[in-house]
Amino acid sequence: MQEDVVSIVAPVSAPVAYGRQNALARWWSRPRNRELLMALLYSSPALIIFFLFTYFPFVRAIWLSLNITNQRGEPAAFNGLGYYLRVLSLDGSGRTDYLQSIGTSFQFTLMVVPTVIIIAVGLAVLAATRVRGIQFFRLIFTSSIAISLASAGVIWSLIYNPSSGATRWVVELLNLGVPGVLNSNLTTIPAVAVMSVWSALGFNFIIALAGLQAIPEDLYESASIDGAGGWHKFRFITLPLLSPTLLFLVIIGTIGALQAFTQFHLLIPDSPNTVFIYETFRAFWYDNRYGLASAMSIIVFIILITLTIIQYRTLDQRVHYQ
Amino acid sequence: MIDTADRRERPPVPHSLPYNTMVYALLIIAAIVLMSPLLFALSISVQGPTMDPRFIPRDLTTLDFAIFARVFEDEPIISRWILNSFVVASGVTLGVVVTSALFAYVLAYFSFPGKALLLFVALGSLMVPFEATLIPNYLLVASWGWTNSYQGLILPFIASGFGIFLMRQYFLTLPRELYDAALVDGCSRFRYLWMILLPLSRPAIATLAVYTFLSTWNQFYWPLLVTSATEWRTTQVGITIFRNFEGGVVYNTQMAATLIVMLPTLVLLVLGQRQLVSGLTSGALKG
Amino acid sequence: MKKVRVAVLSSLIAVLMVALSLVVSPLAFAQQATPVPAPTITPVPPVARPEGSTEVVFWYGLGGNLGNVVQEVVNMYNTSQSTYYINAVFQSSYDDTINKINAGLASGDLPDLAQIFEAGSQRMIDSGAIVPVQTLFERDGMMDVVEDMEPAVRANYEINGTLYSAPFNSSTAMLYVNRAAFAEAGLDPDQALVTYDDVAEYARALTVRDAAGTVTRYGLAVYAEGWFLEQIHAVHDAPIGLPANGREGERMTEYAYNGEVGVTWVEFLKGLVDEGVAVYYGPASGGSGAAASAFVNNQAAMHFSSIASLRGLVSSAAGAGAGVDVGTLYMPRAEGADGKTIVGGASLWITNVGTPEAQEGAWDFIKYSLQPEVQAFWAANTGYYPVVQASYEDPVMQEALVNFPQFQVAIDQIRLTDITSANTAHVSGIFVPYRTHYVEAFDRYMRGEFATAQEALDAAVAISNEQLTEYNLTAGG
Repeated sequence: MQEDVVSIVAPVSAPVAYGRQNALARWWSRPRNRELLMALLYSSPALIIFFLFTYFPFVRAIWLSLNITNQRGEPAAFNGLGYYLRVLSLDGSGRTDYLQSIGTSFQFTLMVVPTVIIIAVGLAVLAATRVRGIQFFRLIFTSSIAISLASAGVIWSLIYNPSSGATRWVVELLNLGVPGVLNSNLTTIPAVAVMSVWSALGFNFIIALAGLQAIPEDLYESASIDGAGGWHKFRFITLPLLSPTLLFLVIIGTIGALQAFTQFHLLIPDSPNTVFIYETFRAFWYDNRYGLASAMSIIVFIILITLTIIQYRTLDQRVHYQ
Repeated sequence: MIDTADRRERPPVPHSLPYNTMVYALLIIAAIVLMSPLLFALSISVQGPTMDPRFIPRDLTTLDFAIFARVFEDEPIISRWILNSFVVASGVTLGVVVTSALFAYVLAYFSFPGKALLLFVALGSLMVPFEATLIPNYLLVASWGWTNSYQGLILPFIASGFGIFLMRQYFLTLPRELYDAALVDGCSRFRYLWMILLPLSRPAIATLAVYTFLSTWNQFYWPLLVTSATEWRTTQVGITIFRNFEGGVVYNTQMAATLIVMLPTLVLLVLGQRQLVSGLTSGALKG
Repeated sequence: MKKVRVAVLSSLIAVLMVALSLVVSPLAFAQQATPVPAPTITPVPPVARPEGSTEVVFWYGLGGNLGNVVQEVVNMYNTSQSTYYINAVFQSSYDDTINKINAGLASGDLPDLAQIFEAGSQRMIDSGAIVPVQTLFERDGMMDVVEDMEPAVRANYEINGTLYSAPFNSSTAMLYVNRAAFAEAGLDPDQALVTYDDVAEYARALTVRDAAGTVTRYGLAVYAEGWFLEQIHAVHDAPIGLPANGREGERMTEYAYNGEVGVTWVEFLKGLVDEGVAVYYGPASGGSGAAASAFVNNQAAMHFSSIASLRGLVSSAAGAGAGVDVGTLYMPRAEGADGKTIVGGASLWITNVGTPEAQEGAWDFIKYSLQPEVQAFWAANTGYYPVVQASYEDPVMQEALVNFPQFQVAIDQIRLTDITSANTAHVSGIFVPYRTHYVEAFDRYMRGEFATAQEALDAAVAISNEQLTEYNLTAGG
């Protein structure tokens, strides 16, 4: 694409023979061609960035994943599909670390997504009441949107730190026999999930509230006239009409939770039980195994693209329904 | 999706006293629970330098609120981190708005062979997650010597498939006749974009800008990789490296700094809540 | 309408109460201990650069108080002469420094001088971007300075006959003990050489339970740290890597820490934790801080750490007011083992990318840093060893030894036995990653995911070796 721009622009500015210039003038006189040139000019800033930082690196990642690299990330020995076989435990080594981390990612996602949606819908129902000063509460419930995962991670790592004693009661309640909730297999991932739920609540709340407020009031009123009870109305009016919103939250939440990195880096950087994004980071950053890490990242890509396609499909369907 | 802010809020409905009491009780409980990690951070901040902090300070008479002013003296580097974050977030925001508007203009108004391909390139970028390009991007930026620099933090992010899509959708809602008429009247394409289209698209630009600024300000993974010198850290990475000092973690300073660096985005939330919400909702399309 | 809300609200209460109880805990403010003042850190500003001086960029990886002393030494140098100006740039940690050097090899963004820990030695040598300091010592006829270096320190940085880098800050691992608790329990805190059995016995005697049977003080605080595994191999004179820790002419080709020495060490720690007389705080990243905090608050009577933390622990213990009297013992070992420990810390590397003047400036700073009085100042203010023996005659150092008698134990510990390749740091291109693999396996074992220590270490060695083979295949490429 970039080269096209050059080859089109160059003849215009260069002194050329008369006949050629004539052809050029003819080319230029066609509006479609002029549009094409302008189109390329206007779109070139974004195109250059896309090619430089998205498409080219993506192809390079695939190439790296097929090689053993040196410490500078240059391919040093071709390795074929060796790394893929290794991380998927198809090489006969019986090493399942990466597969386990994929499992942990989905486990983490299953903990976070339903919890955060249930709490967010609860909060939205509460915040949909039209009492005085409700705007203030809505702002508080939304506030975690503005609090970065890094800030949240720093605060929660102190909450979980045995020296602050804030979660010591959990350790004693569950009789974990370890100093902190991040030291036990039983509570490590749930603890990170609780922090993530807190962090994601603001976003989920505001979307759920928007969904709730879009439900026409008269539906409830006519249901009341028909004698429907509170649960009935929630079950047969609120839930069905909120379901597109819930579906949207499930999709966004799932993809977001699968990409979780910051909270794992801040709360359990050395933990053997971690998510696949973090496992990839370790291979890349701490072990400098760029080939292996690239293979892992391509697998991440395959998982995420599959989910993204499902996402687009479901959203499409939703559009047809409406 | 639905934008709450566009709907006119119905006035408060009078309710019975027990109902109101219960609603307020629940609202207050929920608010306290949600705020409790922040209250915890605030409490630790004012407890002075201790390796053994408590949620409820032991001694409520010696609370050290001056820490919030002193943290800038004790750790002058924090001002630099905040500056870095501002430069990076503003740079990315400006870049995204400009490249998205230009690209979307082409998609919405131009007709030429291969336009579908252009749309495909823009939307296709949404399909490649950040993680899949991270390693080569890091190697590329490092090989250019762009670690510890604004260009390394900004440039990879100044084109956004989401931004292009958002702007294109907005442009398409504006009357096409305006464009055709303007061009017939001899208005240049660029002039139309600059003088007419962009001013008309202020709501979409605001949404894109607030959303981009916030998500860039909160970035963690990429700045962690491409900054290593303390003075090049952004706030998000900066607050976490207090943890690594061998002299022991200074919890009060760390918590105070963490609360301080939240302020810009909290202010942005209060001022730009409406734009943010519509940005987040349309963010649905981002993979 | 109302009822809908009430139904949902009441179910909401349940969810919120769970969240509430997670954070606001009844016990959060029970179990009070007095607050411990942490050392306040006021950064030392650099001095101004004189006109016409040659700038030498220096990356260092020590933060907090230790980093301040680095800046002080740099300031002392910068004011002592005006030909060169050292621009000291902090790199948040040793790991980050070596990572950044790795990236800089491709981009050319390298300092003239870098402080690198021993784990980075092989990579620095393989980088081809360094000037071995030995050539400069020889050129300037200064081998007497090298001869005067603490033998264990010199041996650490002299790899296959060449001194590649100049030692700067040297430390070793210790078993810290609470002397007051020892006295109470009738134990001897002055018998420095202790066996596993001794420590197990101490731990049992030092563990205190309240009436309800809850432990209020553990005998020993444990966390996962690769450096201790290396120390344990050294005291048993067993190489951690083959052949000969990579120190006898050949590159190391495999890790061997899954032998008896490693297995016994890991089993020893796990045994104490299982017995309820030791407490495990997880991997070092978070665990070392938590363990140190427990030690100074008298919640654990013994604790493993570097001698460089001595001053921090002493002042924290004094601030905590829990009556902890800090003492030091040698790293524990199996019956009959009497070996020395390994030297840790970091050394200064000169790169060959800068101008000849900048390289000379880097070398000039190294010469300055090795002067006996500078080393004495450094050691007395940090807790590291002086790397040259002449510093022990300096009054500043002598005073420090009087004030901190615990320091002498550490000096004795690195002089215990003759130097062998097995009691010197191993040389490997995947030094940092190997530690991660070990820590991960250790943590899994402590969490009960591995049935035996042997299985855990076998797994860690397997992945270490896979990576080492790859590194050796591509090194220097």
